Amino acid sequence: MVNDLRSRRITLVWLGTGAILLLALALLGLVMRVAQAVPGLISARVFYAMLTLHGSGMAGISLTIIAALFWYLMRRTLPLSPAVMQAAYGLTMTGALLLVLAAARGFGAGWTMLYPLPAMPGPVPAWDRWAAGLFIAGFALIIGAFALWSFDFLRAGVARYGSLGRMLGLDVLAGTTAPGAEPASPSVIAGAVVAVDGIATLLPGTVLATLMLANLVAPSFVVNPLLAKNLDFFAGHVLANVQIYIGAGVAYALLPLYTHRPWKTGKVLVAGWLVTLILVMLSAFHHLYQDFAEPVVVQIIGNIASYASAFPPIVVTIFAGVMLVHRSGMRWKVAPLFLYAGFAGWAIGGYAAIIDSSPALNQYLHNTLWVPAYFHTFMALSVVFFMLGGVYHVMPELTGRSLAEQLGKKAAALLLIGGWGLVGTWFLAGALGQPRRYTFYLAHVARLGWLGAGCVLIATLGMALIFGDVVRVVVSYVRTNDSPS
Amino acid sequence: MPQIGIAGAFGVGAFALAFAILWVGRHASQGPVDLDQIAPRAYRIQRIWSVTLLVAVCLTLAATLPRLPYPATRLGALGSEDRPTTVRIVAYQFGWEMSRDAIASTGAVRFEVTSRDVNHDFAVYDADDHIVGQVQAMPGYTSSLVIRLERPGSYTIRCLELCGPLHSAMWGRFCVGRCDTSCCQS
Repeated sequence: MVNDLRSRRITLVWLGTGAILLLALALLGLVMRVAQAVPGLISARVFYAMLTLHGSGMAGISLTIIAALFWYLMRRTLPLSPAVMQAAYGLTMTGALLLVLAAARGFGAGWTMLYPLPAMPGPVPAWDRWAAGLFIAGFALIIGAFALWSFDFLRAGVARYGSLGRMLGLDVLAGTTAPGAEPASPSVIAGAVVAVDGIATLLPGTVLATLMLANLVAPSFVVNPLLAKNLDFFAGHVLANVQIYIGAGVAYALLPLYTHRPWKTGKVLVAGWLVTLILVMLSAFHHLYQDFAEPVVVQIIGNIASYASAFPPIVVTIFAGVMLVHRSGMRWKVAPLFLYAGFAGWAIGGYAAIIDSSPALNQYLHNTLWVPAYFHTFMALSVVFFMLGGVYHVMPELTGRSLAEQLGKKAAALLLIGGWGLVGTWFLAGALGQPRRYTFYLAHVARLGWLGAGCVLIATLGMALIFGDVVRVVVSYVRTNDSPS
Repeated sequence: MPQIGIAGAFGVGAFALAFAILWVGRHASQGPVDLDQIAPRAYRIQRIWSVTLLVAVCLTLAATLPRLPYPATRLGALGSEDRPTTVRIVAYQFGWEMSRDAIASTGAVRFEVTSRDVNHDFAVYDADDHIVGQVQAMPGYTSSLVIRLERPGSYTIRCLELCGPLHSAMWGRFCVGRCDTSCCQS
């Protein structure tokens, strides 16, 4: 019981801090969209520092926040360590502080910080080398926090199921599950895939961070830029994608509680996750389609892997999730509403990503607004929605108080209208050639910029409503020092 | 323009997915119906859905793989009389060095692109500000972008890879055909 109280407190601290950080990052996004619509409002240097902080925060910090939420949901199934989550919190927050300090010093190379840009910002006032070093160190700390989570998840899974193979459901696939033995749940399998993929990024991520830091300290030390870019996008692609897989784990765990239908581990589900484990890594090559120096065979592997990686989510997980809801008699509370809406973001964002993952079509879409359009569909309209569904579900357990349902539904409506409106303008502007990471909109799509800024405002209002309600519940809990049984 | 096809295909697919998810959502509160009761029909739909997707993916691969943007494919698609004009491009923070800024006639152009400092992305925009083609400009590598420029007039070059604070201001221009139009003078 003491351990469970500790788990709940750690989770509450994670989610409380996460709410503040995500709202702050969303506000940065709002300022950027307004600045794009009103050229000259802020300087390019400040714009890129904000863009870099927004991107790194959303890519890195949201990863550890949803991992913390998933950790809480899985702690009754697996003997997970609260001490590890405390350490991961410390690493993440220290990393976040370093990212903020780097941005305050003007670091604006983007969260992907392509070598050799961090050490070569150009012949205009930009950022110091030590700001670039702070950023790389900060991001490395956050990735280190996720690695801790990954190792602990696998440790706990092996302790519970006896082997990594059983944790991944291989016994179900082979039909060798012992009579009476409980197979790994879909959440455990999803978490195991995430942890293995997360650990797989450690080596390339560490090598790249070390090489880039060495280049910052000694500029005469140079790295092959194509190798650096491959390492960069391998790690970045996998870490961005596993967030949605954690989201799937959250949905596996929670949606059956509302539909009163079980989400069972079957052969198709296991096979889908095993395929995903491999394909998420191979599909990372699609980020380098326009690097013609990359061997063509690698580009084709990236193309086929990207197409194949669409099948497990759209045919297995999303389909099964929708089937679970169909005529289940479920009441639309806020938690299942967000979980279900997350499937739409995953399916439609995935479809847009698949369109972009052909080298021939990528010629016209690469580094246009089409790219942030689909990854915001993934991140904001799926990962964040899975996260919010989880928050609405766990808050009564954590604090003994519920978030307001009616307010939550209004906030959900604002998030859906604003969020889908924003990505809609981006898809259109991207297809029409608007570059991503530009300080302004091209003249022929300028109206879409204004429309997008308005949509962000609506979505941010929705976020603020939820944030305010979370603050209300947490403050009430802290004031009365009530510890629910 | 391929962009219209891309946007159209996305719009139709996204609408269909959204409709299916919303339709099921609307019927969620009906019931509860036992899962075993709906499972046979659902699994039949799942099989049809899987096969449909597989066919769509195979058709898309068959249509797009022969159109790879790489020089071997693009040069192979040119006729024997169609000799591309070569333009050498060096990207730098924050501009473009071009071996020529006027191309005498419309047709195939081969841009030999490299970078002097960091990664850039050489993107060619037509007069309507739509992308005609692009290639990464990476230090230490020279990449060939072969594109057909069929419309005479002015083309704009933009950098599509974040390359520093003045990334958005990194642009250039060249002319194709007779350069006596006002757009070519700017």
